[in-house]
Amino acid sequence: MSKAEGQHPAGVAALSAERLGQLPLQSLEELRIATGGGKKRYLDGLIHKVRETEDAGSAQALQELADMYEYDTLAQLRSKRAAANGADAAARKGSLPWLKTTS
Amino acid sequence: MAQNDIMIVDDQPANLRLLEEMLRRQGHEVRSFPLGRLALAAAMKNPPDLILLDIDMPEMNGYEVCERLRATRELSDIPVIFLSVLSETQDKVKAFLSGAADYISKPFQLEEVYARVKTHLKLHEMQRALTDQNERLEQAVAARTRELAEANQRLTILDHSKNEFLNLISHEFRTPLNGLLGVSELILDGMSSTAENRELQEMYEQSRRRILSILDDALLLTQIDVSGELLRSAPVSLDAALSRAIEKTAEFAESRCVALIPPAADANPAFVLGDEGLLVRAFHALLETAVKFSEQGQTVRLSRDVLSESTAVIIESRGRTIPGPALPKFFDLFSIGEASTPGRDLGLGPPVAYRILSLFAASVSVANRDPSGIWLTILLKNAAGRMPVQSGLALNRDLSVSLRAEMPPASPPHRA
Repeated sequence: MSKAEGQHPAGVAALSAERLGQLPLQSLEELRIATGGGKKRYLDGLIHKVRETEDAGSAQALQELADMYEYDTLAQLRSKRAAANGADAAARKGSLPWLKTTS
Repeated sequence: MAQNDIMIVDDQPANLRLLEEMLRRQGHEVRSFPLGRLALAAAMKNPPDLILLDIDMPEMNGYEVCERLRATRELSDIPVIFLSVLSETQDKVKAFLSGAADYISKPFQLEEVYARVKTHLKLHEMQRALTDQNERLEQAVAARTRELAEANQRLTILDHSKNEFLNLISHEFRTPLNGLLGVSELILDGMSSTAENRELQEMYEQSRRRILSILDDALLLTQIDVSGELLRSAPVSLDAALSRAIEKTAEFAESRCVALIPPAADANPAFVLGDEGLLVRAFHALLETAVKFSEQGQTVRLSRDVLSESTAVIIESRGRTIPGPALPKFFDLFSIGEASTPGRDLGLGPPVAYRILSLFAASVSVANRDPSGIWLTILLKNAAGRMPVQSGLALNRDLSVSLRAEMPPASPPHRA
């Protein structure tokens, strides 16, 4: 990675886990498969789909990350979203009553 | 070229884009990674056909990625081409030591990268084909080996059965036979000495000798098959062995009115490799064979010729010849029937002699003599050190003793 560790492209700022949380889980799973397999073309196609059907702003930020091959950053965002989803689900089920979500 | 799956690992997005574009245009499937860690994880899930690998990367450099690939059995044969700005010889050497198939210096020419990728993909494809072919061959060899082992096992069982049968007829027949022979002799001894009775006694004697000889030969053949490889060769005086064999054959030759003529005296003693007891038995079997191929009043002549590494013994009979078709099988078991030697059955003499001589890397051959009779030619290996050894001392004692124990009692010597 050309950039120093911990630094992210500008698009990341716009692409918080909260915003990414608006994307369908199916799309996030597809993004995970694309980055894990190094399939840039597939990733581009998925981002294009997000742009057209979901959220153009998120898509722009995702594309910036994808063009810089920031697969780790993309994975971190997806993980944060998954963690948030997990916490939501747990709270809904009451299995973890002490945990409250922020969303 | 068929579509291949190529992985590119480089921390420079520009390089990734450029190489991706070039390889996609060539029809390949391309996977790109900015970090070695991500590439290794993806390769483990789905091994690529070739990897283009940058050296200088964060977290894990190209050398380490390559070493990890080589250390993973499923990934160890994937060709890796390094791409690096490092152009010192030692960098290249280090790359090859870590397991690289090739090395391309940056900045690179796309044509060069493509040419090298194409070459290594072809090589890899050929290597895979070769590996597959080797595996198929190994499977075929393994299957054939199994078949041969099974066939060998069946043959071993058959051979074992044959040996058991020969042992049976040798051992188990001997006891009742001795009883029969003893009683017969008592009866014959009590008979008056008429011409008719003497003829009966003669017939009895011939039959007795024949059946005992076949039993002994059968046992000897079995023992050679079972434990012949235990025998060790030692220098044996050829003249002494021949003399003993002539002595043993004399009575039989006399009964056929055939004269045995020993080799001419030679001042140069011959020592050959073997066991004296067994060599005497082989010579005796061949002398008896020669007598059987002789007519009444004829001679069986022996000669010997010491060569540089071997000694030839020639036994020459003047009488009957061997029918052409029977010649190649002359030393096989039961190869020649009564039709070939009417009234002069060969018994097991030739195969016994052949097998004994084979034990000592010696040989025997037969040929018809012109106009009549046969030649038996024996070739024995000369002993390097011509020191005579007392018979049996250098042998496996158990086998030597057991072989002699089964030999018929020596007849009083008779000169024809």
